[in-house]
Amino acid sequence: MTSINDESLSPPARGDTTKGETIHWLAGFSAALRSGAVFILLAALLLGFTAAEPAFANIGNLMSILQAVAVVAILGAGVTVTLAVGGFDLSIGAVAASSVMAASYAMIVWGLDAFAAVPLVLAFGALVGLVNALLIVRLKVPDLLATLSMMFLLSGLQLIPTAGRSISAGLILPDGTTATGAYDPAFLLIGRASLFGVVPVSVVLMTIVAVVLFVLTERTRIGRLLFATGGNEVATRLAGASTARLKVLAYVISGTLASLGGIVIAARVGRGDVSSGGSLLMDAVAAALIGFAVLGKRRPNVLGAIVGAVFVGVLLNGLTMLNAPYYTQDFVKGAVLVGALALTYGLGRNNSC
Amino acid sequence: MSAASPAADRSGDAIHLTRIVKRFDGAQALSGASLRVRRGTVHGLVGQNGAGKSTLIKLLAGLHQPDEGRIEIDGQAYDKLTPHRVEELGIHFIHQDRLLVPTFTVGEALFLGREPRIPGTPFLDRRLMQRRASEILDDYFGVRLPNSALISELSTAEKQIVQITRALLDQPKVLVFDEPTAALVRREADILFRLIRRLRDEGVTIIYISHYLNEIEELCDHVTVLRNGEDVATLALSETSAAAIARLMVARDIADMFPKRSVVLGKDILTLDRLSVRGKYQDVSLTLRRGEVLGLTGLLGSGAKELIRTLFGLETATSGQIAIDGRAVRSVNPAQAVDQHLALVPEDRRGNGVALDLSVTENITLSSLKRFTRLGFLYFGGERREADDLIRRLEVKTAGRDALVRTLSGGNQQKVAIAKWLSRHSEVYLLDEPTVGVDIGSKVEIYNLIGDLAARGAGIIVLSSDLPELIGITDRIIVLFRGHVVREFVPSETSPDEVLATSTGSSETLRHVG
Repeated sequence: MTSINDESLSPPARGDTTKGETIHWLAGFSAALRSGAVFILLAALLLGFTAAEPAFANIGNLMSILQAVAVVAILGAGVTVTLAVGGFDLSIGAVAASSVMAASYAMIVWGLDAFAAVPLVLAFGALVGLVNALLIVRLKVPDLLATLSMMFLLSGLQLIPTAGRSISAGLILPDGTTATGAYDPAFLLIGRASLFGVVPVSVVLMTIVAVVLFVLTERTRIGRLLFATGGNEVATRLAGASTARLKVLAYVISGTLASLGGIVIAARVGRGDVSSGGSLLMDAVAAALIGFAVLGKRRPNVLGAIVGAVFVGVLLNGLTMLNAPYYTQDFVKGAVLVGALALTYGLGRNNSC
Repeated sequence: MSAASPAADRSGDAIHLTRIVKRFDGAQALSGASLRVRRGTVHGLVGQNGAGKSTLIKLLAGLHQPDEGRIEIDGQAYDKLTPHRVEELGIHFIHQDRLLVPTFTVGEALFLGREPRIPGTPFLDRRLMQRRASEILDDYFGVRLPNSALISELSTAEKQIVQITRALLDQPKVLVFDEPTAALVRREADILFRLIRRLRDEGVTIIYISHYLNEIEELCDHVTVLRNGEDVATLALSETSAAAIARLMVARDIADMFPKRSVVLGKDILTLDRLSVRGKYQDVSLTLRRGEVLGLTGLLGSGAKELIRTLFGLETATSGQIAIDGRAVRSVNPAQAVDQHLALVPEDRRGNGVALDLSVTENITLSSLKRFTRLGFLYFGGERREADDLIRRLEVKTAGRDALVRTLSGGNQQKVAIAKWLSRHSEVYLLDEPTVGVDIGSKVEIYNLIGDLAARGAGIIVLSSDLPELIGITDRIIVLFRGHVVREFVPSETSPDEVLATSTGSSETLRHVG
């Protein structure tokens, strides 16, 4: 009903009806093209890679793509929430990396099992988010600076308990004793098991995170207020919302998701590697930013971040199958990001009014 | 009144703009405005917000180019003016809110872009800079501002002195003052007026833009009145009066410009009893009734703005009581104020009133989202209906409910800012300068909206420095001065001049209060 009204309210220019309608139709088409651009390109990639290398399309390979991007997608969803409130969480990569160390330390040194280690590590991530929020909301440290310092702090902190060593079974502690614990086999299932032997657990986790956060941000009052805080913090506060609490929530979500990402990595690798998670921050931020272009939203959105991560994953996997050298990967990611941002800010601008 | 002028060549025009037309995105800002300013005179330029004053001045400053019309300066026609060219021609602009870099020193600000060097070297001649600056400061203002003082440490009046001094260093031919007294106290304004008269006597041409007609009357030789993008009259002040100028500015009957609904007042809705915020205002007691539109005015620092902020929980009262509908309340943050059916429409609309990059719908339902939520989930259908309903009722001109608020005009953004509170069913509206930067058409619509709200039984406080507006749309006007309520006016029995005199503390009636 509303669509009928819309048409009757904005009639094409009088006296040149057909031309007006054509322009109207073309404008609608190009808008649809823009908002669907990422999906259209994704479909084209899938078809192209399948044509070039039929093995690309088998279910195992597709799942391995999703498994490869799961961690980045989970972190990207978290960054998206901080972007929504007008902030930016640069500490997520470091949170994920130190969560790998924390999970390993908890099991190998303290001898905890999976059911104790997982909540502990998630709580660690939430705590880091809370400290970030405290710096930003209470002490008014700018977001970028607060989370950048947190990144430094955590990158250093994770080295201290083991005096800079990676953590694996039989680790020799700084006091000379040998750690007696080991990775709980149940914990390793998070990274290595598959549901019905097809869908990896990490992909399931990614899907759950995606659905829950999508509903939270796009379908609830809290989500609306998160975006409103990013849109105009003062106006939102004057409208009666507690923007301070909303920002705390955003950073806690981001920190918790980053530690979840760390758990997935730890469960996949089975050891606490001091150098893990190196490119996570950049990849997650890229996914979140590519997400701006998805569905023509032009603002942070969870679905977009997930699609952004998958898009990059498909592209890298396909190119690898076609024997593109590994050192071109960062270039490819960068090119995708530049293209997506151009789509978001440059080409998308004229459909705003 | 005009003094003898020994040196000035008074023949001919310093500025002559002829039938200037300027459009912005289809909106006509100027539709054939002319301005002719004789050399060595003080020429007033008045008009309501949106009449085209600032556009005309920006054209003269070379910031915009006219679509049609002719610009002559000192008898010479110019096709294309640039800010740089204008400065070369000796035309300087003093803006009330002109940005001076706050971290610069006085010396750096004064000589920015034309620093004198020690001859034959690349080094700044600091001594010459200091000497030239203090010559002017001493001579014209009788003040001493060390060149090393930081701009951020100066008062508003001192910042203005720096701007004027910067212009005087260039020996200007024309000085344009844009609302120079808006943030000055009377004593500072007097210093400024003496300076302007002296510059005039020295042969400098002055264009003086002000909302305050008493200043125009006091200071100017001629005045040009702009209305709806055209000049409606240029008069010699010796042959006219502030009242006549006001009539020319408004043109339509005051009754059309300010549609005031007569509303039967209901019960008390808001009562303040000896409310104080230490250092801001003291012992403010007042009562607002349902259906009443209460005007509030006062200069910067009078406490009027802080009073509004206190009601909305943005300042904490140090003593006194607030009661809404007879119940004592104490809001310590905006969320509690909103729950008590208070609504604040802040002055800085784009900064604080609306979220520009959210849609019209999202802005309208921002404070009433709970109504469109089921078990925490948004109920989009109800939200859309609410937005459509308010867009229609308030006649918000927008491409649709999903358009970003950024794409709306100032007046329509303001309607969205108010619609947000209608959606919340607020009952006490605190409107802070509700029509600043709003075109005349939307102004009247906003006045109508205020009348509707009153008719529905809301209580409304309008804080405004637009005195004709306050007189036109309110039932009572309360004036604050230095933290005290000094006087209450009945609009029909007063004039903008009288209210202004009271709010600036220059009125006789204040002597016994102060």
